[in-house]
Order: sequence, then structure tokens, then C-alpha cells
Amino acid sequence: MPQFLIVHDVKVYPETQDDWIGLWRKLRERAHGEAEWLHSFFEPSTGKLYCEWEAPDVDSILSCLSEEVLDLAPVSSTSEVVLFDVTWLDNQES
Amino acid sequence: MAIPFPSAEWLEALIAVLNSDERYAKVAKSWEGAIFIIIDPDESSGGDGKEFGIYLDLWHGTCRGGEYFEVLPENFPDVAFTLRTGNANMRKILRGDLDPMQAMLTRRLRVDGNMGYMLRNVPTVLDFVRCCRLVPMDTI
Repeated sequence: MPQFLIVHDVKVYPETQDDWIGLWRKLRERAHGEAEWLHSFFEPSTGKLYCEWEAPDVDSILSCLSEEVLDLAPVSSTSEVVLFDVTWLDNQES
Repeated sequence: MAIPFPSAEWLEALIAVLNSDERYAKVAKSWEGAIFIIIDPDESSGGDGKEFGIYLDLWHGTCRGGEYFEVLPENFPDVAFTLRTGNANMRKILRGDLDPMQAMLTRRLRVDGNMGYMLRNVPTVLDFVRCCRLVPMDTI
């Protein structure tokens, strides 16, 4: 399955812990099926959220993102990416 | 030497770490806000039903003071954040067995305060926890 990196610019931050958890839970519930949300990395200094997804195409990821999510954290870029796991180097034959 | 947690001695040792740690001073240089940590009783605290409170006045990479409460005050200190968790989960965080962000996302650590400020300052939060882990804690 292709992997994607979706970058969001966080425009509005949750005011409370419950707001934060509620938003992430809702997204998590929508992100099961064809497109699966794997990990996120947040960069506090820029407010960018880097989300790793596995999906057949980028449209199936975007369909998981509700209007609420896109208002709070619009997508600034989408990239199809390939994983290179550095631990592979530990098992290489010389 | 291990220090009982929670206790006034543990808090005193933490304040000494916060005020001498160069990395914390740098990472937390923009942080403005006191915190009040309430530790709820559970099996790991002997089951005597007592809540404990730890107040820390954190300001621009230093700790301007703190207070340990064996009995919670009627009027809580004026703080930017109140954090609340059970003794067992607090010990897991302090031992490094529970990620503090995971604890927040799963409500094992309750946060009352501006979550946006907390998220924008995640490096400060994580470095504060790193400093807490430098204080040797008793085992129970």
C-alpha cells in the first residue's frame, strides 16, 4: 500500500484537553478503512503537523479529513513517500 | 539516595535541578506559568485516601519557588495549569514508563489550562519531565 506524508498547518489550537482529545478521536475513527493514519509528528516551533498515512491514493486520505479538521489545520502539502527503515542496515550481509 | 515521592524533600530536589539544569534553562526560556500537580490516592500510595499537591512557579527557564501540600488547600494557588493524576501513573511518568504526551492524550494525566499553550510548548513540557526524572525517587 502506498504511503503518504500529509502536512498540516495548525491554525487554531484546542483550548482544552477534552477539545484536543475529542478532535483526534474523531479523526482516528474516520481514519480506518482504505486509508489508515499511522503516525503524526508535531513541530511546535512552526505549528506544522506531519501525518503519515497508508492509503491507495491521496484522495482517500483527504476524504477522512472533516471540514472541522481542515478549518483548524488545513493541508499545506501531500506527498507520496517511501519508507527507508534504518534498522535494515543492521541486518545487511557484508 | 532515593527520595520519597511525593514529599517536600522531593520537591526541594526538583527545584534545585530545575534551577541548575542548563538545558532546561534554554528549552524553557519562554515558558511563563505556574503549575499545580494534584496526585490522587491509589493502591500505590497506601490507600489512605489522601491527595497531595505540588505547586511550582515556573518562569522563563527557572523555578521561582514551590510548595508541597500534604493536605490540599481550600483555595488552590493561581496557576496556568493544574495537572491531575494518580500516584501510580505519576510514578510511571517519573520512571519513564509512561510518555507524558500519551498520558495526556489518554486522560491518565488530566490537564486544566490552555491546551494550545501546552502543545506549542511541548519541548518545555518534555524537558520539565526529564528534569523530574533526574530526582532519584523511592520505590514502593
